[in-house]
Amino acid sequence: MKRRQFIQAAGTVAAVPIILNGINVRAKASPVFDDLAKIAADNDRILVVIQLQGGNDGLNTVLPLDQYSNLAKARQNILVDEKKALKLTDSTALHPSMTGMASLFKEGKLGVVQSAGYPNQNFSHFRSTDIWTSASDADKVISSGWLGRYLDTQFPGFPDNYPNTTQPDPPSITIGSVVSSTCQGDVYTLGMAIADINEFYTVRNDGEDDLPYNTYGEEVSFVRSMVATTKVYNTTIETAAKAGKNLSTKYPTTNANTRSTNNLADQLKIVAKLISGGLKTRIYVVGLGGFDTHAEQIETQGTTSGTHETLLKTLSDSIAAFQDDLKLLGLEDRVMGMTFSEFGRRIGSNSSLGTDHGSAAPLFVFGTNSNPMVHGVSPVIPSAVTVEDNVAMQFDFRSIYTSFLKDWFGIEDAAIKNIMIKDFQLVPIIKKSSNSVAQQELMDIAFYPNPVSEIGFLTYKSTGGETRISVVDLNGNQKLLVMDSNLQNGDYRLPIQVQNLSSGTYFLKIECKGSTTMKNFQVLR
Amino acid sequence: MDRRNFFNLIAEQKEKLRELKEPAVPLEYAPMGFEIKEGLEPYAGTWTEEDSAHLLRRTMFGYYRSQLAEATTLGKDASIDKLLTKIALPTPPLNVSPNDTTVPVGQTWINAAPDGLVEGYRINSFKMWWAIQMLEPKFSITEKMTFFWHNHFATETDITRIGKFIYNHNTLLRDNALGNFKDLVAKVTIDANMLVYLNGNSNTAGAPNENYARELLELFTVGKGPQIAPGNYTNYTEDDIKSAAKVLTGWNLNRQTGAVTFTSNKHDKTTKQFSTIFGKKQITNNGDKEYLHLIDMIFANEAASKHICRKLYRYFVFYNIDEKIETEIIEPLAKLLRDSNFDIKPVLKTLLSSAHFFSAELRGAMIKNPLDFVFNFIKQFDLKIPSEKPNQNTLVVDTYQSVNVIIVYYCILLDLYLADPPNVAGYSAYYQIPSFYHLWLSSVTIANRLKFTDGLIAAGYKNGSISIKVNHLTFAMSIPNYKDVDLFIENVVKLLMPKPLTQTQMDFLKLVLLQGVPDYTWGEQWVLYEKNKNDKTVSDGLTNKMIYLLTVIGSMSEYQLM
Repeated sequence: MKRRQFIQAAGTVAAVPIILNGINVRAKASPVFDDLAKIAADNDRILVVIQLQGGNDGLNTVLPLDQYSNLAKARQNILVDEKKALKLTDSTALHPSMTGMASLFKEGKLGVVQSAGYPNQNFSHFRSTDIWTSASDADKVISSGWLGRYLDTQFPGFPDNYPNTTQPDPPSITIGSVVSSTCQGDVYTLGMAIADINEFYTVRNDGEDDLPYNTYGEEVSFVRSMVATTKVYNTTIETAAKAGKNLSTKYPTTNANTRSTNNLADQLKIVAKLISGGLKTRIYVVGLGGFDTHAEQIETQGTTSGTHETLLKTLSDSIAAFQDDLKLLGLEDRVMGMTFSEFGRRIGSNSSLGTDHGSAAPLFVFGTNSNPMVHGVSPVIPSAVTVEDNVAMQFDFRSIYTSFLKDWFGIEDAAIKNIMIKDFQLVPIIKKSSNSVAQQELMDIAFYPNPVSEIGFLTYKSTGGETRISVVDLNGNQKLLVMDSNLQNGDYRLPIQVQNLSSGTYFLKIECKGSTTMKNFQVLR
Repeated sequence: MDRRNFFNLIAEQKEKLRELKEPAVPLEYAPMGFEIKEGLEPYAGTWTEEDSAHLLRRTMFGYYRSQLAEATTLGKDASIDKLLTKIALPTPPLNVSPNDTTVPVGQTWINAAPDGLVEGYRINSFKMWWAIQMLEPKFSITEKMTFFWHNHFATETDITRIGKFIYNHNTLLRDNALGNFKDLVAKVTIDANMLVYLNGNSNTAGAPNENYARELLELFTVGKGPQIAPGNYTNYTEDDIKSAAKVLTGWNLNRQTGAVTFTSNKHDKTTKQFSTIFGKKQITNNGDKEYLHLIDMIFANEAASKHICRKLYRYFVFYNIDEKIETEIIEPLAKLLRDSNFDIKPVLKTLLSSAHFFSAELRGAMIKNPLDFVFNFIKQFDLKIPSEKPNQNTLVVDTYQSVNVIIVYYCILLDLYLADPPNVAGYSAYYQIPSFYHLWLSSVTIANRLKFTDGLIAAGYKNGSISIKVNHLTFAMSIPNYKDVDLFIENVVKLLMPKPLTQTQMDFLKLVLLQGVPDYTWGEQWVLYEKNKNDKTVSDGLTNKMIYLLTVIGSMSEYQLM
């Protein structure tokens, strides 16, 4: 160990944290930065991931107006009044507290993906969270996170030779004490955790001495690498924090989440500040906990107020304020966000004014580049709901991740396959204008008779392209593959044989380049 | 082997494991998989001070040097027996806030009626009191085991918010820390704090609340295995959860008195059917005893004994459980647990006495959790809390408040909220594949650990009548052969580090201490100091050298391990 390193360390012996008196460099004023920005516009794209911890009750978030009478029967003790809901489309509305996000939808800055989930739902918080963060199949265990695998491709050989002049900033940033497992790479964690941007303690480097080749040596090595990463990135983050700012006055101050050191609004404020300060990091992860509303998700019957409402209000107000801040900072076009939760909740409520663990649920995509629509249809609510009934999956959540990788970050298909392990159909969550791929369109889709017992007919118009049509059950399992081929432009009429399907509700899933359409139908024998 | 090669090997392993299906046996993901040759046979090495240190480091929250000496004298078996001996329960927590006017300052609040306005103060008092129990110089595994059970039967004060229930729950864990695991599960099931936390108190027939039933199976007993079919997690199914929820209906809690009662007309009286995993058992209506039948049924499944043994292994030994360890360590311990009718002590005794536990391969490989980190420091430096001229009139309040700052609050900065794990699975370092203990260290917490050692060594902490300081010269003089610079450094490192450092590192520490002046000057300074303790040039000189050396040692990665 070199003496010089420790003399540097000697200066930090006092307990007073060391804060650099940074020169107030405004990154945008730099001509070099401006030039880079022109050349590398695509590289500046940022994704903000909001993790809702505990399992968000989707049916109380995006209300299915076209299923209300059945939903009222299933959740009589907790359902909100239809008239108070904030309408998005004829068939969907947001919970009354989500005024911020309802406005964003009207402004064309919010998209809703109905019933996002995965086949073979696992109802354990921990396993399902692992599935969502690792993007694995339900029966496989993968220890890396999907964003970690993406970042592995952007930062090959990390952490050796990082930071460098082309990539001076952390691969990702999680606001909190620990880096999100979404950013766990195959070997290293590709990111930094930040709890507070007002204070940066100088961490001292360790020796590079050889370590014994054993378990102890491996653990010491890990600690050393953690120290080294912290040390190198603190300076650049501090610089960005000092140069950045928040311009929105809309950030809420009440804290719905007692767990984290920063509430969601504070976390997003830090993100906006760092981006505006010129930090080149492109992945940010923030979180809001408390969604495991087994009990008392509303305070008393007949009201909306309670745990879930407070959480939804916090979520909505924080996202709206963040979006407002990005607009005022001139950063709107570079940032997109998404929410995710490990599962939705049961259709029927329980006797504790709450809901138990469920399956698929809506997720949100926000930003000026979101496709401002509701993807998919309202979840089908049976008229007599039992404790077994769950929301059927319409979109595999990995399609959403794939769509971000391809349509937002412009990753090539071969690389996407490596990151996402399997192929997933794209969902048009990103606005068409930012895509260079021509979309195929399917129009005038109709299926009759409905209910059907032997053969049904699917009619549609197509502009041509690869099309895949299948029938899936309420659990998202494929029951029939009707077609998977390259269509010509034209009108189509397809017979679909349902003799082998038992009575029940199914979805026709029509996937083509850039879109997925779901149509539900009944089989009746 | 250098670091790059290490991680190349890890990357290769992980590549191979990427496509693995969830294994049929619930094995956990293995990092490097260094093979541990030793098994559960008793450790037969000659008992040394290093062995005592390893034993105490793992079974207590830090240890004082007098305890180390005692363990070295007692030898392996007598030390372990003493650690596993049940000790008397402590006196209860005291009110130390003048804002809680329901109970005089310095008296206990545990018998007072719950009162939403003051629960915050009581819960703070509880946390400070708990930290004081861990601080006390008890030669016992009790506090480590109490925290283990707290991590296992996780509850959060943020959610239950009633100090009395929280204290009683903690006492239940401490009282049964070395007792019978199956009994403990039964007691926790109808414990007031748990009934609130997992909604057992509002689980009624007609619309059962599955929260406790799920965690009982997934976390507290058999554990979740791989998902082998929709709703089937190898050791239980979703239907089992639904049936278990029905068995547990009917319990309620008087939030004022804490009395737990069973109400027959809220209880589901149907026959509950369980899956083939539980032998297709049916549990018929048995009123307030029915939950015991459920627990009997669950414990007849071997998975229950294996799950808890894996947790004990991860807590005391290391996070990696590969096939060999599962077969040679976990399964025999699980069998021993079943043969002992679920008494925990025989399992602890066998594990802690084993050659595996004392394996050289595993010593020092555990990253300290925040409590380990803080308490090891405090006890290594013989830090008195509070330190200087404590005011006898305000001693209790000052002690609680010191502990609050140095331990309870500081652990929050290190990402451990005492009595408030992130969720019902406990603290993630004890279960999250693949990182486990690595989760204690991030850019945030590493910086805060450094701040802790730097701050306390260099400046100490002072606030009003509370002062916490390291006495550098007293500490130095307590080290054997302190006047010989080589022996001094060697013995300081022996005290503070879990394993010896390399010669390069030792040479460097000498450079830090002496700054290039000849070795003999070290002894000379001490002679001068003894001649005149008031000579500030000498005492300050020595103090500054001590500060520099100790902060450097505290900042070394090895210091994070135990």
